[in-house]
Amino acid sequence: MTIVGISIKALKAKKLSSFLSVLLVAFGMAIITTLILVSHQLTQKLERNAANVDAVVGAKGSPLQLILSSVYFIDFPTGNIPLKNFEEIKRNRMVKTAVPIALGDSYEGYRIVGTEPSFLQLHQLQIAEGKLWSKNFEIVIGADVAKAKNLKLGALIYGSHGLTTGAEVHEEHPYRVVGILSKQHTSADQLVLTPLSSIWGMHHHEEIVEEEQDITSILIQYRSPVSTILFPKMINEQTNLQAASPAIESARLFSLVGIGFDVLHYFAILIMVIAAISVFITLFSSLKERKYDLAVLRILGASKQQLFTMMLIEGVILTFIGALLGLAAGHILVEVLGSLDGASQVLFSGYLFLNDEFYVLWAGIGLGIIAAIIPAIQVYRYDIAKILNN
Amino acid sequence: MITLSGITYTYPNTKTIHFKDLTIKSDEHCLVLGNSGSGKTTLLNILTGLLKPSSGTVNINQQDLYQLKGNDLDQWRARHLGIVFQKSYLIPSLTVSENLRVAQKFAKLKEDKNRILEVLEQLQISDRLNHYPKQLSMGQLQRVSIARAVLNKPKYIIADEPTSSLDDENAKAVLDLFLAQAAANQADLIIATHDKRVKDCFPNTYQI
Ligand SMILES: Nc1ncnc2c1ncn2[C@@H]1O[C@H](COP(=O)(O)OP(=O)(O)OP(=O)(O)O)[C@@H](O)[C@H]1O
Ligand SMILES: [Mg+2]
Repeated sequence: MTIVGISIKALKAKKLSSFLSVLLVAFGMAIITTLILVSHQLTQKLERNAANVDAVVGAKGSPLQLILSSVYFIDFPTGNIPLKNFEEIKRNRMVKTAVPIALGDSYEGYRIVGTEPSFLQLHQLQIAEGKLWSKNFEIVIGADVAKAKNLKLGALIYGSHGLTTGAEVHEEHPYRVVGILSKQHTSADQLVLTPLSSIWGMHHHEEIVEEEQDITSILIQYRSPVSTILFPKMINEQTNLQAASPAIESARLFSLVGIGFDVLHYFAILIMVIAAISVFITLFSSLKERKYDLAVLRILGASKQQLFTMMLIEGVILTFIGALLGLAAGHILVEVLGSLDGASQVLFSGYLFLNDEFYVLWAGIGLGIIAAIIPAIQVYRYDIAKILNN
Repeated sequence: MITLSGITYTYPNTKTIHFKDLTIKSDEHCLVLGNSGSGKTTLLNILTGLLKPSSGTVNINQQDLYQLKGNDLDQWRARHLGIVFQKSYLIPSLTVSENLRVAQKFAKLKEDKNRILEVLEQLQISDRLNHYPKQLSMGQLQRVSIARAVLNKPKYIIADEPTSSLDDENAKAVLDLFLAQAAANQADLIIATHDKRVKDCFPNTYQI
């Protein structure tokens, strides 16, 4: 019989209140774990997608919407701009790289992006199998698309009009898969890339006239950081286009989402405090019945320090089990969230373990010690003669 | 050998209890007699190192009890005294066998399953090894607590009113049990009681 063994048996003897304490700790821990995992993956995803894009130029409208649709491929585009704007901007001295993007069609919920090979260079995309397109209606698909739809090189797919599933299908022009990208852990995993002219060809069945060569937006990489201020100013003032910065817009987005995270965070802390109080009550109220047992242990030779430790161990066992369960529940929850919407652009994985979680685990153990300290001090001070004579 | 000299004890707001000097030789049992409220329990607490007397000294086998401090006193008590409480005070979350193992552990003795079986057999409850205290009758509980008291072969077995709540027949049986256990484990008995039925079995009495 070790002290830990005695503690465990004591906790087992009052199953209900021990269970409730563990449950509360687990609940708080699960929320905190979920928050840590989700915010980490969200931030990382946002940062990775925008890593090489300094600015996006598109039709006037909400800058956030422009960024969301052209960098993260989630929202709807702001509108079309003529291709000749792209030619002008490409020649601008401040611009190092300009990549055109044409959105509008999709394949089973995955967006079809009309662009140029420079898109792959800008985002540093590697082709894992096959090659880049060489003519219209050839496509290079993201790793997730290939996996989810089980597409091999040479497969034919049909795009449909619009960005949601179930819309009208363009049956006359199949796309042929000529390349599959390696896994990037960015939105590119869920994209279908094709030359711009495929998009135009799809919607205009005759010869393509120049006026109809529209694109959605232009991804920009600057020649020097100095342009960060000058370039948007120039675009916004001198053209009827807008330039938006992914860094600024995602920071703005995150500060909006962040409020929600903060609220949840405080909620989780509140639950943990309640959990600590519950552990405290579990231990403290059990002392009323257990003080005789503890006094007897002293008679049997246990020291004050051993009983003190025993109470702390009981608190820590409750919070530690709760913390472990909470961590597991958090990971499962995130995994479930990630798998709920297969085509979602922001995929979460529960198979990710972060250092922050260790701090949470330590915090959980600390919580147990704090909750148990008062009962432990009380036990330490017991006057055993008095207890045994009552 | 136990010697008490000049022992007094004063509870707050009560008049001081004076205890006569006493010497109990080795291999002698001793009965502490006195009316209710006379101070028997107080004396046993002083003897077992639980209650520091207001004055006087307690010597047990050449050890001045109150020279020992803190954990040393706890250890000394665990090694030399076996205490049986009026109520049983077994740990309810532990089985009979675990209750005895705890007694070996905290006295810093090796866990010895054979010894545990031996005492439980002597007290005829070895079949209840894996039962929890709440599954035992009052009499069985008392026997387990006697088993625990003699487990570590203490020099003295100290019991407070072990028979007062029992009928004549059972009182006799329990007393025989104590005497038999003391003999089997070479321990001396010190029993406090106001129960006149016990008196005849003990030549040595200490009247408060
Ligand atoms: N904690 C205490 N505070 C104040 N007075 C106490 C306390 N404990 C005992 N006393 C008093 O000290 C006296 C002796 O008490 P003690 O318990 O030793 O008596 P006892 O001989 O064991 O009695 P009984 O046979 O009823 O068990 C009593 O008058 C009692 O009221
Ligand atoms: Mg008494």
